[in-house]
Amino acid sequence: MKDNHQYDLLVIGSGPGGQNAAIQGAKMGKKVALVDREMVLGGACVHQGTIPSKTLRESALKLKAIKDKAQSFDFSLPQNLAVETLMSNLEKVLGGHTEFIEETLDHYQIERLHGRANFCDPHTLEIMNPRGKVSQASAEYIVIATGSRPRNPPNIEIDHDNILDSDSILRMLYLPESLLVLGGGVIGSEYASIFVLLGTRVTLMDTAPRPLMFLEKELTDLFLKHFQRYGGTYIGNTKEKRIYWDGLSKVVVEFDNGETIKVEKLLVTKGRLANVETLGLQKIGVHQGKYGLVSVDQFYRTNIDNIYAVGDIIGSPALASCSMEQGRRAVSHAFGKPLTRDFSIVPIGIYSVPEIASVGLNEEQAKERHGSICVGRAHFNQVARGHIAGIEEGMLKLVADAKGEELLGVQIVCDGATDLVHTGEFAILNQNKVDVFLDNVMNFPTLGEAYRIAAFNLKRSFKNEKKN
Amino acid sequence: MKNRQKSAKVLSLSKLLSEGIDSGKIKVPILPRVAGQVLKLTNNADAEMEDFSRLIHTDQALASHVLRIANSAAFSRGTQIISLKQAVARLGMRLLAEIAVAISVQQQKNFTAKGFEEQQRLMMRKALISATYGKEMARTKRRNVEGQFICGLLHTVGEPVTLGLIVQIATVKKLKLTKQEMDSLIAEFHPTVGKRMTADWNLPELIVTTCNYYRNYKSAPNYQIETGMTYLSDIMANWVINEEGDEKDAIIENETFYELNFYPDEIDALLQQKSRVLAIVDEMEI
Repeated sequence: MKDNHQYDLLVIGSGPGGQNAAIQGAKMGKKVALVDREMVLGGACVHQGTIPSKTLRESALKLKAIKDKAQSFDFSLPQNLAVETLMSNLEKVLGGHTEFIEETLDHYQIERLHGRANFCDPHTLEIMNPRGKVSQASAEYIVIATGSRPRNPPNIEIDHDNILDSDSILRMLYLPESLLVLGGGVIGSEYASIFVLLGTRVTLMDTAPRPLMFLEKELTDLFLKHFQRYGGTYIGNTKEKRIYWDGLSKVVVEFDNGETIKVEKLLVTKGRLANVETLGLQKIGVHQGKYGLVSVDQFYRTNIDNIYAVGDIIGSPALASCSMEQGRRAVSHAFGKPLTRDFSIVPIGIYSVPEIASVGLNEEQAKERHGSICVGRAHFNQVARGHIAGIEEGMLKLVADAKGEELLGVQIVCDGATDLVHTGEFAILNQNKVDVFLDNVMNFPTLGEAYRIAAFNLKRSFKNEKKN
Repeated sequence: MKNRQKSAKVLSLSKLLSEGIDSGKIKVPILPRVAGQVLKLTNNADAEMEDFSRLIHTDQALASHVLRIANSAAFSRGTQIISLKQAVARLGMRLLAEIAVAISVQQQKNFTAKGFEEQQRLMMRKALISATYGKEMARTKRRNVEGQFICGLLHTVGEPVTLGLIVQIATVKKLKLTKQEMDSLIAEFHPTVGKRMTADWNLPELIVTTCNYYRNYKSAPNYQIETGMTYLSDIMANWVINEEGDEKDAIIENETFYELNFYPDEIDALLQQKSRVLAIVDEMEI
């Protein structure tokens, strides 16, 4: 006879989405349990992706700062440097974060169940721990937040030794002399820009003409300019034909155009797959779409009324920040708590070097929706704080309606863009006019001054437009 | 009477070994078989870096030497060399051959393991199986594959050295040892010898830790997961190589698998790879 524990809410997955779903349930006075197949809490976000890669990124930024400020010194990292030395504080960061998650769950009296979850019926999970011991847990509502993992294309044999994915790249023993990044999406571009700063000879490759195709060309051009200045190479409109390890020290990549590249390591970043295989979703009839993504409505509810899904397993935007809010909203909806507002304004942050951030509509989207529009730009070489901090490359762009009043979107490329974008986000959320950046006091010197410069630029372009 | 004589013999050797270890004169011998292979390769104009790389990957003594030398002041250029592949690339084939030959020549004259060749071969084979299984475990958990291979290859590096030392002393003292006596002496001394060697040679911390703590990975001050996986790869290698080793069920029940979050299907998949692992080892063995 299996144990069967009863809860109000069961959450599968302890990443950002799962944690917030569980906490929201507990805050509403519900009996909650959080199921995770891993022993440590936090999901891939904490242990494989977001936090470890940002730790490595910080080292790259420090190195960039040294290089930029001491150009008279021929400074570079030693070849074959151990990667772990560049992530020396990672254990501390991870330990601190995991401890914080544990304390929070304890505080809200959220029970932890360790094991793989599998649906028996829409209200019941069978949970098998690594010892093979199976127990059951039932709840009125179940939230699935099992996240995703790197997708391994069938034509590429990822051995996690020479040919790596975005999980195993951070387990490399030493810094490679050369690296080919296959896939110019967010993860590929982030890693390419980090490793190029660390002194690795990096080639970024994609079938698209430029990386980060979902962003405007103006932004990706700035990203590429920086990447290439530090020695990176981008190869667009090209597809790999055959990839293999030469048996000794190089990965050989043959392209469809007949060219061949030999590199020490290859990183494959060709999308991610939802972690849904072991859940038994088909058994209970949960609808899934392409790549196994779980289909949900605007409340994150699946076609089974009491089952919700949040985070990477429902697809785009697959951001930790969004997953958190999705988790909170899913549980609020399940237990009947009214949601205060729409959840349509979501900032996007790309932790490349330099950072890229965007919120609201870009130029193209704004034109599609509003017809005529106004645009204002500030370049960071016009910003005093930019000069002081050595952030002279990059741009902040404001997109407004045809009258130059209603703020529709903000796009930024510069170190610190992922923080800076929040000013624009809250201006949009509060329906502030563009004038808010001109009529109010901002600290000087700050990078935020770019908002004022861009607003001036936007007003000027509106006047010029009017004259013409 | 016979037992008492045996005890005295073992005790005497044990004392001499302790003295040898305390005096810090432990040297890792290159096995004559490998030394011969190295010489053959250096005299072969068609020999390629790949041949050396393969040779080094199959021999824990040579691997230790290569890592030690690659990390020495003369070659390291201030950077720690952590992997064999890195060492091969750093040192280059020519230098690597010189190093290997120099070591083998130095060691050969003092080293014989007459009467224990099979035991020696099994030690090497076990280390290789452990290394290969370590790789598979690292793949399963998406951890560092290359590092786990080295840990598997070198975690018992003290064994062949201890065997060599015992044979040397026994030859000088004209003592004849049975396999059981030899086994008990190796079991007693190889952890100390391994610990001493890894420390003296300034091997990478990952290897030092796994060598010293693989039997008790939870005590490892760092690299606990790698050390735990090394222990598991050692268990798996015992199972593969030794008919009398842990039975399959005992392996499945091993607590460390659960502590490292291996699920039953993952353990089963590893066990299913036995023939594949053996095929790889057969391919790599000289």
